[in-house]
Amino acid sequence: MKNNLRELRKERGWTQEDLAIELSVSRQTINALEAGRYDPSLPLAFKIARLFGRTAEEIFDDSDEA
Amino acid sequence: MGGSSSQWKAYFPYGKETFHFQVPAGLLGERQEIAMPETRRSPPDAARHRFAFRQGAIMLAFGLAVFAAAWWVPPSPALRWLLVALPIALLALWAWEFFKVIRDDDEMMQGLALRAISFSSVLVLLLATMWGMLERLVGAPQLPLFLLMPGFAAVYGIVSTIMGARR
Repeated sequence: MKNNLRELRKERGWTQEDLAIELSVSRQTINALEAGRYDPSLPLAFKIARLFGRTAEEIFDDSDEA
Repeated sequence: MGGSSSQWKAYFPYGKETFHFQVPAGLLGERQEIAMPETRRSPPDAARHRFAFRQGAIMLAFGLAVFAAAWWVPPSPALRWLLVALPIALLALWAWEFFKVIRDDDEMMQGLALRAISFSSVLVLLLATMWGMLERLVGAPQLPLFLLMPGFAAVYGIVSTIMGARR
């Protein structure tokens, strides 16, 4: 699933480690999420959306998979 | 040499700052402040970091305990039992630490660990069963069963590294 997590993170000047700490996940998970190699669970997707003040649909795009 | 030579301060903030150490005057000439890059880790990363250290210590102790149990014959049978129980207790401690680090991990890493455990368990059981049949039917050398768990840990380490690299 495509997403704009990397862009949102860079807008805030955060490193992957910073984002991992904010979300209480590992740095590898952030890396996999940004690369689109891992689709988050609903609770994690909502946590990410809340952190960036966006909706889940604004961050994650599943149009390729529909 | 400054007058405040007794001053010794160390700050360990868990924020975005760096570590600062104020070294007492006289120790390194004039009083100096050394800034060290801070190692910040998310809770799952910190748990895995702790596990790596603990696992190393437990495995080292296990190796020494197995060596002692195999080579030292204590004077009393009770001490002998105690000596044999030590490596078993260390393996149980490793298993506890192993499950604790998986429990504290995030959803993606938990999934990865569970897949690696499933694959490694099946592989180790398959190899052990195969070897058991070879022992019974064609007289292959006996496989010491106490190697099963360390064998599983080694296979799991390789499998999880490969799975992690492919993700």
